[in-house]
Amino acid sequence: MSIVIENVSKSFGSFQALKDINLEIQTGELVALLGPSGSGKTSLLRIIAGLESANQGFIYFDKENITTITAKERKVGFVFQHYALFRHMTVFENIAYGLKVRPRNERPKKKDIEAKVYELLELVKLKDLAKRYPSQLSGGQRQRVALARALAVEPKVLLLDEPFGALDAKVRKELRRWLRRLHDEFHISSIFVTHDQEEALDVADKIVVMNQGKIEQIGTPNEVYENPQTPFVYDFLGNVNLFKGRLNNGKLLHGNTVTNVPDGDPSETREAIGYARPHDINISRVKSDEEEVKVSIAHLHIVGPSVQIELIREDTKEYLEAELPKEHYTKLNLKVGEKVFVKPKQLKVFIPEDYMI
Amino acid sequence: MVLDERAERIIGILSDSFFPILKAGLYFTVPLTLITFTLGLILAFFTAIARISGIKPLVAIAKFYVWIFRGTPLLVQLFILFYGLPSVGITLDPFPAAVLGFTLNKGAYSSEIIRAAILSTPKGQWEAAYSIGMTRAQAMRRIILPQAIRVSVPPLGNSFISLVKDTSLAATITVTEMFQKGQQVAAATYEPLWLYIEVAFIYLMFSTVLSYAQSMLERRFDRSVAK
Repeated sequence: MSIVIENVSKSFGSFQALKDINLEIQTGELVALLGPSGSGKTSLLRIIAGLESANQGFIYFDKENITTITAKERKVGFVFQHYALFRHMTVFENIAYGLKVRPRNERPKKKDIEAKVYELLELVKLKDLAKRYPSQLSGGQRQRVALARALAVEPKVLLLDEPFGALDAKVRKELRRWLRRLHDEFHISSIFVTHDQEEALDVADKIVVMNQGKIEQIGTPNEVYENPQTPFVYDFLGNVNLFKGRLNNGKLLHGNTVTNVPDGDPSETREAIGYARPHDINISRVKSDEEEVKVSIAHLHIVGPSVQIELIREDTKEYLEAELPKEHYTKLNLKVGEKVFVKPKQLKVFIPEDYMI
Repeated sequence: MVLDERAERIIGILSDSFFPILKAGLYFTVPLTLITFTLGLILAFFTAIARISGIKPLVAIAKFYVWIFRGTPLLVQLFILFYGLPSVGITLDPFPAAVLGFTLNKGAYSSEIIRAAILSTPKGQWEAAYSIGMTRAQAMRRIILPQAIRVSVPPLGNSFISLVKDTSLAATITVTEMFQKGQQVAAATYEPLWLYIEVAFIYLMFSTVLSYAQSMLERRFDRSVAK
Protein backbone atom coordinates (compact mmCIF):
# COMPACT_ATOMS: atom_id res chain seq x y z
CA MET A 1 0.00 0.00 0.00
CA SER A 2 1.30 3.44 -0.82
CA ILE A 3 1.16 6.13 1.84
CA VAL A 4 1.00 9.87 1.27
CA ILE A 5 1.43 12.36 4.07
CA GLU A 6 0.38 15.87 3.15
CA ASN A 7 1.07 19.04 5.16
CA VAL A 8 0.79 17.27 8.50
CA SER A 9 1.34 19.36 11.63
CA LYS A 10 0.94 18.38 15.25
CA SER A 11 1.41 20.19 18.52
CA PHE A 12 1.21 19.06 22.11
CA GLY A 13 0.25 22.16 24.06
CA SER A 14 2.73 24.83 23.10
CA PHE A 15 5.26 22.30 21.79
CA GLN A 16 5.12 21.82 18.06
CA ALA A 17 6.06 18.21 17.40
CA LEU A 18 5.58 18.24 13.62
CA LYS A 19 5.74 21.18 11.24
CA ASP A 20 4.17 20.77 7.84
CA ILE A 21 5.38 17.28 6.98
CA ASN A 22 5.13 15.99 3.40
CA LEU A 23 6.18 12.45 2.59
CA GLU A 24 5.39 9.75 0.06
CA ILE A 25 6.01 6.07 0.59
CA GLN A 26 5.67 3.56 -2.23
CA THR A 27 4.20 0.09 -1.93
CA GLY A 28 6.79 -2.41 -0.75
CA GLU A 29 9.24 0.13 0.60
CA LEU A 30 11.00 -0.24 3.94
CA VAL A 31 11.38 3.28 5.28
CA ALA A 32 13.31 4.48 8.32
CA LEU A 33 12.30 7.61 10.20
CA LEU A 34 15.62 8.66 11.66
CA GLY A 35 16.26 11.43 14.14
CA PRO A 36 17.22 12.32 17.70
CA SER A 37 14.65 12.13 20.49
CA GLY A 38 12.14 14.93 20.26
CA SER A 39 12.49 15.18 16.49
CA GLY A 40 8.87 14.13 15.93
CA LYS A 41 9.55 10.76 14.33
CA THR A 42 7.43 8.78 16.79
CA SER A 43 4.60 11.33 16.59
CA LEU A 44 4.59 10.96 12.82
CA LEU A 45 4.47 7.17 13.08
CA ARG A 46 1.61 7.31 15.58
CA ILE A 47 -0.32 9.70 13.34
CA ILE A 48 0.08 7.29 10.43
CA ALA A 49 -1.21 4.51 12.70
CA GLY A 50 -4.17 6.58 13.88
CA LEU A 51 -3.08 6.44 17.51
CA GLU A 52 -2.64 10.19 17.44
CA SER A 53 -4.48 12.71 15.30
CA ALA A 54 -2.86 15.48 13.30
CA ASN A 55 -3.85 19.09 13.94
CA GLN A 56 -3.79 19.70 10.23
CA GLY A 57 -2.96 17.91 7.03
CA PHE A 58 -4.06 14.67 5.43
CA ILE A 59 -2.99 11.06 5.22
CA TYR A 60 -3.78 8.83 2.26
CA PHE A 61 -3.49 5.06 1.99
CA ASP A 62 -3.57 4.10 -1.70
CA LYS A 63 -5.02 7.53 -2.54
CA GLU A 64 -7.86 7.08 -0.07
CA ASN A 65 -8.08 9.82 2.52
CA ILE A 66 -7.95 8.08 5.91
CA THR A 67 -7.12 11.11 8.05
CA THR A 68 -10.20 10.79 10.27
CA ILE A 69 -10.41 7.00 10.34
CA THR A 70 -9.67 5.30 13.67
CA ALA A 71 -6.67 3.09 14.39
CA LYS A 72 -8.91 0.05 14.51
CA GLU A 73 -10.17 0.64 10.97
CA ARG A 74 -6.84 1.51 9.38
CA LYS A 75 -5.73 -2.11 9.57
CA VAL A 76 -2.09 -1.35 10.11
CA GLY A 77 0.24 -3.58 12.10
CA PHE A 78 1.93 -1.69 14.91
CA VAL A 79 4.92 -2.88 16.90
CA PHE A 80 5.37 -0.88 20.08
CA GLN A 81 8.66 0.24 21.51
CA HIS A 82 8.11 -1.69 24.71
CA TYR A 83 6.19 -4.41 22.87
CA ALA A 84 2.93 -3.87 24.83
CA LEU A 85 2.22 -7.59 24.82
CA PHE A 86 -0.95 -8.62 26.61
CA ARG A 87 0.54 -9.67 29.92
CA HIS A 88 -2.30 -11.93 30.97
CA MET A 89 -2.21 -14.04 27.82
CA THR A 90 0.14 -16.67 26.50
CA VAL A 91 2.24 -16.12 23.40
CA PHE A 92 -0.29 -18.12 21.40
CA GLU A 93 -3.24 -16.06 22.63
CA ASN A 94 -1.41 -12.81 22.05
CA ILE A 95 -0.93 -13.66 18.40
CA ALA A 96 -4.37 -15.22 17.93
CA TYR A 97 -6.31 -12.39 19.53
CA GLY A 98 -6.49 -10.03 16.59
CA LEU A 99 -8.25 -12.75 14.62
CA LYS A 100 -10.44 -13.96 17.49
CA VAL A 101 -12.04 -10.59 18.12
CA ARG A 102 -13.17 -10.04 14.55
CA PRO A 103 -16.90 -9.80 13.89
CA ARG A 104 -18.43 -13.23 13.43
CA ASN A 105 -18.80 -13.02 9.66
CA GLU A 106 -15.14 -12.09 9.13
CA ARG A 107 -13.68 -14.36 11.76
CA PRO A 108 -11.69 -17.37 10.54
CA LYS A 109 -12.61 -20.80 11.90
CA LYS A 110 -10.94 -21.82 15.12
CA LYS A 111 -8.85 -24.38 13.29
CA ASP A 112 -7.71 -21.83 10.73
CA ILE A 113 -6.75 -19.38 13.45
CA GLU A 114 -4.67 -22.05 15.11
CA ALA A 115 -2.96 -22.95 11.84
CA LYS A 116 -2.24 -19.30 11.15
CA VAL A 117 -0.78 -18.73 14.61
CA TYR A 118 1.51 -21.73 14.30
CA GLU A 119 2.63 -20.57 10.89
CA LEU A 120 3.57 -17.21 12.40
CA LEU A 121 5.24 -18.85 15.39
CA GLU A 122 7.30 -20.89 12.97
CA LEU A 123 8.23 -17.71 11.14
CA VAL A 124 9.40 -15.95 14.29
CA LYS A 125 11.03 -19.14 15.57
CA LEU A 126 9.03 -19.34 18.77
CA LYS A 127 7.04 -22.52 18.21
CA ASP A 128 8.23 -24.11 21.44
CA LEU A 129 7.25 -21.09 23.50
CA ALA A 130 3.58 -20.86 22.46
CA LYS A 131 2.31 -21.59 25.96
CA ARG A 132 4.62 -19.20 27.78
CA TYR A 133 3.56 -15.85 29.18
CA PRO A 134 5.33 -12.65 28.07
CA SER A 135 6.99 -12.30 31.47
CA GLN A 136 8.79 -15.59 30.85
CA LEU A 137 10.45 -14.42 27.62
CA SER A 138 13.65 -12.55 26.84
CA GLY A 139 13.58 -9.11 25.21
CA GLY A 140 14.31 -10.47 21.74
CA GLN A 141 11.64 -13.14 22.08
CA ARG A 142 9.07 -10.58 23.20
CA GLN A 143 9.94 -8.43 20.24
CA ARG A 144 9.30 -11.34 17.89
CA VAL A 145 5.95 -12.08 19.55
CA ALA A 146 4.99 -8.42 19.10
CA LEU A 147 5.89 -8.68 15.43
CA ALA A 148 3.93 -11.90 14.96
CA ARG A 149 0.93 -10.32 16.69
CA ALA A 150 1.07 -7.34 14.34
CA LEU A 151 1.40 -9.59 11.27
CA ALA A 152 -1.45 -11.91 12.30
CA VAL A 153 -4.10 -9.46 11.13
CA GLU A 154 -2.43 -9.36 7.69
CA PRO A 155 -1.78 -5.63 7.57
CA LYS A 156 -0.86 -3.84 4.37
CA VAL A 157 1.27 -1.45 6.37
CA LEU A 158 3.62 -2.39 9.19
CA LEU A 159 4.69 0.34 11.58
CA LEU A 160 7.45 -0.19 14.12
CA ASP A 161 8.36 2.22 16.91
CA GLU A 162 12.04 1.86 17.87
CA PRO A 163 11.64 -1.88 17.35
CA PHE A 164 15.10 -2.85 18.47
CA GLY A 165 15.80 -0.07 20.94
CA ALA A 166 15.76 -2.17 24.08
CA LEU A 167 17.86 -5.06 22.79
CA ASP A 168 21.58 -5.68 23.02
CA ALA A 169 23.78 -4.92 20.02
CA LYS A 170 24.15 -8.44 18.66
CA VAL A 171 20.46 -9.39 18.88
CA ARG A 172 19.59 -6.03 17.38
CA LYS A 173 21.67 -6.63 14.29
CA GLU A 174 20.29 -10.13 13.84
CA LEU A 175 16.69 -9.02 14.23
CA ARG A 176 16.92 -6.10 11.84
CA ARG A 177 18.32 -8.26 9.06
CA TRP A 178 15.56 -10.71 9.77
CA LEU A 179 12.98 -7.91 9.65
CA ARG A 180 14.34 -6.97 6.21
CA ARG A 181 13.78 -10.52 4.92
CA LEU A 182 10.34 -10.66 6.51
CA HIS A 183 9.37 -7.37 4.92
CA ASP A 184 10.40 -8.63 1.49
CA GLU A 185 8.48 -11.86 1.97
CA PHE A 186 5.22 -10.22 3.01
CA HIS A 187 5.07 -7.56 0.26
CA ILE A 188 4.03 -4.83 2.63
CA SER A 189 5.04 -1.25 3.21
CA SER A 190 6.95 -0.84 6.44
CA ILE A 191 7.99 2.23 8.37
CA PHE A 192 10.23 2.03 11.39
CA VAL A 193 11.38 4.70 13.77
CA THR A 194 14.94 4.70 15.01
CA HIS A 195 17.56 7.01 16.43
CA ASP A 196 20.31 4.61 15.41
CA GLN A 197 21.81 5.74 12.10
CA GLU A 198 23.63 2.45 11.62
CA GLU A 199 20.33 0.59 11.83
CA ALA A 200 18.67 2.88 9.31
CA LEU A 201 21.59 2.71 6.90
CA ASP A 202 21.75 -1.06 7.21
CA VAL A 203 18.21 -2.11 6.30
CA ALA A 204 16.10 0.75 4.94
CA ASP A 205 15.27 1.40 1.28
CA LYS A 206 14.67 5.00 2.10
CA ILE A 207 15.69 7.14 5.05
CA VAL A 208 13.73 10.14 6.27
CA VAL A 209 15.99 12.23 8.49
CA MET A 210 14.01 14.33 10.96
CA ASN A 211 14.99 17.12 13.30
CA GLN A 212 12.85 19.45 15.43
CA GLY A 213 9.60 18.43 13.83
CA LYS A 214 10.81 18.85 10.26
CA ILE A 215 12.15 16.59 7.56
CA GLU A 216 15.79 17.43 6.88
CA GLN A 217 16.34 15.05 4.01
CA ILE A 218 14.76 12.07 2.27
CA GLY A 219 16.88 9.66 0.30
CA THR A 220 18.40 6.23 -0.06
CA PRO A 221 20.96 5.30 2.61
CA ASN A 222 23.69 6.04 0.13
CA GLU A 223 22.30 9.46 -0.79
CA VAL A 224 21.86 10.67 2.76
CA TYR A 225 25.23 9.36 3.84
CA GLU A 226 27.28 10.48 0.86
CA ASN A 227 25.42 13.63 0.01
CA PRO A 228 23.88 15.22 3.11
CA GLN A 229 21.78 18.28 2.30
CA THR A 230 22.10 19.96 5.68
CA PRO A 231 24.72 20.23 8.43
CA PHE A 232 22.35 18.36 10.71
CA VAL A 233 22.20 15.34 8.42
CA TYR A 234 25.98 15.44 8.07
CA ASP A 235 26.40 15.42 11.80
CA PHE A 236 23.70 12.87 12.58
CA LEU A 237 24.76 10.23 10.08
CA GLY A 238 28.24 9.58 11.35
CA ASN A 239 31.33 11.32 12.63
CA VAL A 240 32.30 14.55 11.00
CA ASN A 241 35.11 17.12 11.08
CA LEU A 242 34.32 20.80 11.08
CA PHE A 243 36.48 23.37 9.35
CA LYS A 244 35.24 26.73 10.59
CA GLY A 245 36.28 29.73 8.57
CA ARG A 246 35.34 32.40 6.07
CA LEU A 247 34.12 31.80 2.57
CA ASN A 248 34.91 34.11 -0.35
CA ASN A 249 34.90 33.55 -4.11
CA GLY A 250 34.95 29.77 -3.91
CA LYS A 251 37.68 29.63 -1.30
CA LEU A 252 37.33 28.72 2.36
CA LEU A 253 39.90 30.27 4.66
CA HIS A 254 40.24 28.25 7.85
CA GLY A 255 43.17 28.70 10.23
CA ASN A 256 46.20 29.39 8.00
CA THR A 257 44.86 27.32 5.16
CA VAL A 258 42.80 28.09 2.09
CA THR A 259 40.72 25.32 0.54
CA ASN A 260 39.07 25.58 -2.84
CA VAL A 261 35.34 24.94 -2.60
CA PRO A 262 33.77 24.55 -6.00
CA ASP A 263 30.12 24.35 -4.90
CA GLY A 264 29.75 27.40 -2.69
CA ASP A 265 30.78 30.86 -3.90
CA PRO A 266 29.00 33.90 -2.50
CA SER A 267 30.62 37.07 -3.79
CA GLU A 268 30.93 38.68 -0.38
CA THR A 269 32.81 37.16 2.53
CA ARG A 270 30.70 34.96 4.80
CA GLU A 271 31.21 32.87 7.92
CA ALA A 272 31.09 29.24 6.81
CA ILE A 273 31.78 25.72 8.02
CA GLY A 274 33.26 22.94 5.94
CA TYR A 275 32.26 19.36 6.71
CA ALA A 276 34.31 16.24 5.99
CA ARG A 277 33.95 12.66 7.24
CA PRO A 278 36.97 11.06 8.98
CA HIS A 279 37.47 8.56 6.15
CA ASP A 280 37.59 11.46 3.69
CA ILE A 281 40.70 12.90 5.35
CA ASN A 282 44.01 12.25 3.56
CA ILE A 283 47.20 12.01 5.60
CA SER A 284 50.71 12.50 4.19
CA ARG A 285 54.13 12.86 5.76
CA VAL A 286 55.33 15.67 3.50
CA LYS A 287 53.54 18.80 2.46
CA SER A 288 52.85 18.63 -1.25
CA ASP A 289 49.86 20.92 -1.58
CA GLU A 290 48.85 24.43 -0.42
CA GLU A 291 45.53 23.06 0.90
CA GLU A 292 47.12 20.74 3.44
CA VAL A 293 46.84 21.46 7.15
CA LYS A 294 49.71 20.79 9.52
CA VAL A 295 48.63 18.66 12.47
CA SER A 296 50.15 16.63 15.27
CA ILE A 297 48.95 13.14 16.18
CA ALA A 298 47.25 13.13 19.57
CA HIS A 299 45.95 9.59 19.80
CA LEU A 300 45.69 6.33 17.85
CA HIS A 301 42.88 3.75 18.14
CA ILE A 302 44.12 0.67 16.36
CA VAL A 303 41.41 -1.89 17.15
CA GLY A 304 39.48 -3.33 14.20
CA PRO A 305 39.94 -3.19 10.44
CA SER A 306 40.48 0.55 10.36
CA VAL A 307 42.48 2.93 12.51
CA GLN A 308 41.02 6.08 14.08
CA ILE A 309 43.47 8.92 14.50
CA GLU A 310 42.92 11.97 16.66
CA LEU A 311 44.74 15.01 15.38
CA ILE A 312 45.33 18.55 16.64
CA ARG A 313 45.69 21.41 14.16
CA GLU A 314 48.90 23.32 14.65
CA ASP A 315 47.26 26.65 13.75
CA THR A 316 43.92 26.66 15.55
CA LYS A 317 44.53 23.85 18.09
CA GLU A 318 41.18 22.31 17.05
CA TYR A 319 40.69 18.56 17.01
CA LEU A 320 40.25 16.56 13.81
CA GLU A 321 39.56 12.90 13.34
CA ALA A 322 40.81 10.73 10.51
CA GLU A 323 40.12 7.11 9.67
CA LEU A 324 42.52 4.96 7.65
CA PRO A 325 42.46 1.36 6.48
CA LYS A 326 44.93 -0.63 8.57
CA GLU A 327 47.32 -1.37 5.69
CA HIS A 328 47.55 2.27 4.81
CA TYR A 329 48.28 3.11 8.43
CA THR A 330 51.00 0.49 8.62
CA LYS A 331 52.60 1.86 5.47
CA LEU A 332 52.66 5.40 6.88
CA ASN A 333 54.07 4.12 10.17
CA LEU A 334 52.45 6.88 12.25
CA LYS A 335 53.35 7.53 15.89
CA VAL A 336 51.74 9.68 18.58
CA GLY A 337 53.31 13.17 18.71
CA GLU A 338 54.46 13.21 15.07
CA LYS A 339 53.64 16.12 12.77
CA VAL A 340 51.85 15.23 9.54
CA PHE A 341 49.74 16.96 6.87
CA VAL A 342 46.06 16.39 6.22
CA LYS A 343 43.63 17.43 3.55
CA PRO A 344 39.92 16.70 3.19
CA LYS A 345 39.28 14.73 -0.02
CA GLN A 346 35.95 16.47 -0.24
CA LEU A 347 34.62 19.35 1.76
CA LYS A 348 30.96 20.29 1.89
CA VAL A 349 30.47 23.90 2.95
CA PHE A 350 27.40 25.27 4.71
CA ILE A 351 26.79 28.87 5.63
CA PRO A 352 25.52 29.02 9.22
CA GLU A 353 22.69 31.52 8.50
CA ASP A 354 21.11 28.88 6.32
CA TYR A 355 20.15 26.69 9.19
CA MET A 356 20.39 28.75 12.35
CA ILE A 357 17.10 30.11 13.65
CA MET B 1 -9.60 -20.08 96.53
CA VAL B 2 -11.73 -17.10 95.56
CA LEU B 3 -9.65 -16.76 92.41
CA ASP B 4 -10.38 -20.31 91.35
CA GLU B 5 -14.06 -19.78 91.75
CA ARG B 6 -13.94 -16.63 89.67
CA ALA B 7 -11.85 -18.29 86.98
CA GLU B 8 -14.25 -21.18 86.89
CA ARG B 9 -17.20 -18.81 86.51
CA ILE B 10 -15.51 -16.92 83.65
CA ILE B 11 -14.56 -20.10 81.84
CA GLY B 12 -18.12 -21.28 82.26
CA ILE B 13 -19.56 -18.07 80.82
CA LEU B 14 -17.12 -18.03 77.93
CA SER B 15 -17.70 -21.61 76.91
CA ASP B 16 -21.45 -21.21 77.25
CA SER B 17 -21.44 -18.05 75.15
CA PHE B 18 -18.87 -19.13 72.53
CA PHE B 19 -21.24 -21.03 70.30
CA PRO B 20 -24.12 -18.58 70.50
CA ILE B 21 -21.75 -15.77 69.53
CA LEU B 22 -20.15 -17.86 66.78
CA LYS B 23 -23.64 -18.70 65.57
CA ALA B 24 -24.55 -15.02 65.45
CA GLY B 25 -21.40 -14.60 63.39
CA LEU B 26 -22.32 -17.36 60.97
CA TYR B 27 -25.96 -16.25 60.73
CA PHE B 28 -25.48 -12.50 60.49
CA THR B 29 -21.87 -11.28 60.27
CA VAL B 30 -20.79 -13.67 57.49
CA PRO B 31 -23.91 -13.29 55.30
CA LEU B 32 -23.91 -9.53 55.84
CA THR B 33 -20.25 -9.37 54.81
CA LEU B 34 -20.63 -11.59 51.75
CA ILE B 35 -23.83 -10.00 50.50
CA THR B 36 -22.67 -6.42 50.93
CA PHE B 37 -19.24 -7.13 49.51
CA THR B 38 -20.72 -8.70 46.38
CA LEU B 39 -23.31 -5.97 45.89
CA GLY B 40 -20.72 -3.33 46.76
CA LEU B 41 -18.36 -4.70 44.11
CA ILE B 42 -21.04 -4.61 41.44
CA LEU B 43 -21.93 -1.05 42.40
CA ALA B 44 -18.24 -0.11 42.54
CA PHE B 45 -17.59 -1.59 39.12
CA PHE B 46 -20.35 0.41 37.45
CA THR B 47 -19.38 3.53 39.35
CA ALA B 48 -15.76 3.17 38.19
CA ILE B 49 -16.85 2.60 34.60
CA ALA B 50 -19.11 5.66 34.82
CA ARG B 51 -16.23 7.72 36.22
CA ILE B 52 -13.94 6.91 33.30
CA SER B 53 -16.65 6.82 30.61
CA GLY B 54 -16.08 10.44 29.71
CA ILE B 55 -19.87 10.90 29.50
CA LYS B 56 -20.41 14.06 31.53
CA PRO B 57 -23.68 13.31 33.40
CA LEU B 58 -22.43 9.81 34.30
CA VAL B 59 -19.12 11.17 35.54
CA ALA B 60 -20.95 13.78 37.62
CA ILE B 61 -23.31 11.24 39.20
CA ALA B 62 -20.43 8.87 40.02
CA LYS B 63 -18.35 11.66 41.50
CA PHE B 64 -21.25 12.93 43.59
CA TYR B 65 -22.02 9.47 44.94
CA VAL B 66 -18.42 8.78 45.91
CA TRP B 67 -18.12 12.24 47.44
CA ILE B 68 -21.16 11.75 49.70
CA PHE B 69 -20.47 8.21 50.87
CA ARG B 70 -16.75 8.62 51.36
CA GLY B 71 -17.14 11.94 53.11
CA THR B 72 -19.62 10.98 55.81
CA PRO B 73 -19.26 8.45 58.66
CA LEU B 74 -20.63 4.97 58.06
CA LEU B 75 -22.35 5.10 61.44
CA VAL B 76 -24.23 8.26 60.47
CA GLN B 77 -25.23 6.71 57.14
CA LEU B 78 -26.66 3.68 58.94
CA PHE B 79 -28.58 5.89 61.38
CA ILE B 80 -30.09 7.96 58.57
CA LEU B 81 -31.22 4.80 56.76
CA PHE B 82 -32.63 3.03 59.80
CA TYR B 83 -33.77 5.75 62.20
CA GLY B 84 -34.14 8.67 59.81
CA LEU B 85 -36.01 7.33 56.79
CA PRO B 86 -39.11 6.15 58.72
CA SER B 87 -39.98 9.81 59.29
CA VAL B 88 -40.49 10.19 55.51
CA GLY B 89 -42.45 6.96 55.36
CA ILE B 90 -39.68 4.55 54.36
CA THR B 91 -39.23 1.90 57.00
CA LEU B 92 -36.52 -0.70 56.56
CA ASP B 93 -35.94 -3.82 58.64
CA PRO B 94 -32.59 -3.88 60.42
CA PHE B 95 -30.88 -6.41 58.15
CA PRO B 96 -31.89 -4.84 54.81
CA ALA B 97 -31.01 -1.43 56.20
CA ALA B 98 -27.55 -2.75 57.12
CA VAL B 99 -27.10 -4.36 53.70
CA LEU B 100 -28.07 -1.12 51.97
CA GLY B 101 -25.83 1.04 54.16
CA PHE B 102 -22.74 -1.15 53.86
CA THR B 103 -23.24 -1.67 50.13
CA LEU B 104 -23.44 2.05 49.42
CA ASN B 105 -20.42 2.75 51.59
CA LYS B 106 -18.26 -0.09 50.26
CA GLY B 107 -19.31 0.66 46.71
CA ALA B 108 -17.96 4.19 47.00
CA TYR B 109 -14.61 3.08 48.40
CA SER B 110 -14.13 0.11 46.11
CA SER B 111 -15.02 2.12 43.01
CA GLU B 112 -11.90 4.17 43.62
CA ILE B 113 -9.80 1.01 43.91
CA ILE B 114 -11.21 -0.36 40.65
CA ARG B 115 -10.85 2.98 38.89
CA ALA B 116 -7.21 3.22 39.97
CA ALA B 117 -6.56 -0.34 38.80
CA ILE B 118 -8.06 0.38 35.38
CA LEU B 119 -6.05 3.57 35.06
CA SER B 120 -2.87 1.80 36.15
CA THR B 121 -2.97 -0.43 33.08
CA PRO B 122 -0.40 1.03 30.68
CA LYS B 123 -1.76 3.11 27.79
CA GLY B 124 0.12 0.86 25.40
CA GLN B 125 -2.24 -2.00 26.23
CA TRP B 126 -5.17 0.04 24.91
CA GLU B 127 -3.24 1.05 21.85
CA ALA B 128 -2.08 -2.48 21.17
CA ALA B 129 -5.69 -3.63 21.40
CA TYR B 130 -6.88 -0.96 18.96
CA SER B 131 -4.03 -1.67 16.58
CA ILE B 132 -5.11 -5.30 16.16
CA GLY B 133 -8.66 -4.20 15.48
CA MET B 134 -10.47 -4.28 18.82
CA THR B 135 -13.27 -1.89 19.67
CA ARG B 136 -13.15 0.14 22.89
CA ALA B 137 -15.57 -2.24 24.58
CA GLN B 138 -13.60 -5.30 23.46
CA ALA B 139 -10.34 -3.79 24.66
CA MET B 140 -11.92 -2.97 28.03
CA ARG B 141 -13.42 -6.40 28.54
CA ARG B 142 -10.66 -8.60 27.19
CA ILE B 143 -7.44 -6.66 27.74
CA ILE B 144 -7.86 -3.99 30.39
CA LEU B 145 -10.24 -5.54 32.93
CA PRO B 146 -8.46 -8.90 33.25
CA GLN B 147 -5.29 -7.01 34.11
CA ALA B 148 -7.06 -4.49 36.34
CA ILE B 149 -8.68 -7.28 38.35
CA ARG B 150 -5.25 -8.69 39.18
CA VAL B 151 -4.05 -5.29 40.30
CA SER B 152 -7.11 -4.68 42.44
CA VAL B 153 -7.14 -8.02 44.29
CA PRO B 154 -4.80 -6.96 47.13
CA PRO B 155 -6.53 -3.66 47.95
CA LEU B 156 -9.99 -5.17 47.54
CA GLY B 157 -8.99 -8.04 49.83
CA ASN B 158 -7.93 -5.45 52.32
CA SER B 159 -11.24 -3.69 52.14
CA PHE B 160 -13.05 -7.03 52.41
CA ILE B 161 -11.34 -7.81 55.69
CA SER B 162 -12.08 -4.37 57.02
CA LEU B 163 -15.72 -4.93 56.06
CA VAL B 164 -15.86 -8.06 58.26
CA LYS B 165 -15.03 -5.87 61.23
CA ASP B 166 -17.12 -2.90 60.13
CA THR B 167 -20.24 -5.08 60.22
CA SER B 168 -20.08 -4.78 64.02
CA LEU B 169 -21.60 -1.33 63.49
CA ALA B 170 -24.81 -3.10 62.45
CA ALA B 171 -25.30 -3.74 66.17
CA THR B 172 -26.24 -0.08 66.51
CA ILE B 173 -29.25 -0.57 64.27
CA THR B 174 -30.35 -3.67 66.20
CA VAL B 175 -29.00 -6.40 63.95
CA THR B 176 -28.13 -9.27 66.28
CA GLU B 177 -24.77 -9.97 64.71
CA MET B 178 -21.75 -11.12 66.73
CA PHE B 179 -20.99 -7.92 68.53
CA GLN B 180 -24.63 -7.38 69.50
CA LYS B 181 -24.75 -10.94 70.85
CA GLY B 182 -21.57 -10.34 72.83
CA GLN B 183 -23.03 -7.15 74.25
CA GLN B 184 -26.13 -9.01 75.41
CA VAL B 185 -24.11 -11.68 77.21
CA ALA B 186 -21.76 -9.08 78.69
CA ALA B 187 -24.68 -7.12 80.06
CA ALA B 188 -26.28 -10.19 81.60
CA THR B 189 -23.11 -11.58 83.20
CA TYR B 190 -21.18 -8.41 84.15
CA GLU B 191 -18.01 -9.78 82.52
CA PRO B 192 -17.40 -7.23 79.77
CA LEU B 193 -13.62 -7.67 79.65
CA TRP B 194 -13.64 -11.38 78.97
CA LEU B 195 -16.71 -11.35 76.80
CA TYR B 196 -15.37 -8.66 74.48
CA ILE B 197 -12.01 -10.43 74.31
CA GLU B 198 -13.93 -13.51 73.25
CA VAL B 199 -15.81 -11.53 70.60
CA ALA B 200 -12.53 -10.04 69.38
CA PHE B 201 -11.05 -13.54 69.19
CA ILE B 202 -13.91 -14.77 66.99
CA TYR B 203 -13.52 -11.76 64.67
CA LEU B 204 -9.83 -12.60 64.51
CA MET B 205 -10.65 -16.17 63.51
CA PHE B 206 -12.85 -14.94 60.68
CA SER B 207 -10.38 -12.42 59.36
CA THR B 208 -7.48 -14.89 59.58
CA VAL B 209 -9.34 -17.38 57.42
CA LEU B 210 -10.24 -14.60 54.99
CA SER B 211 -6.67 -13.24 54.82
CA TYR B 212 -5.49 -16.70 53.95
CA ALA B 213 -8.12 -16.98 51.23
CA GLN B 214 -7.03 -13.59 49.92
CA SER B 215 -3.38 -14.56 49.67
CA MET B 216 -4.34 -17.76 47.83
CA LEU B 217 -6.33 -15.69 45.37
CA GLU B 218 -3.47 -13.25 44.88
CA ARG B 219 -1.04 -16.04 44.18
CA ARG B 220 -3.38 -17.51 41.63
CA PHE B 221 -3.76 -14.21 39.82
CA ASP B 222 -0.12 -13.25 40.06
CA ARG B 223 1.28 -16.27 38.31
CA SER B 224 1.15 -15.06 34.76
CA VAL B 225 1.44 -11.30 35.09
CA ALA B 226 4.72 -9.58 34.37
CA LYS B 227 5.61 -6.77 36.69
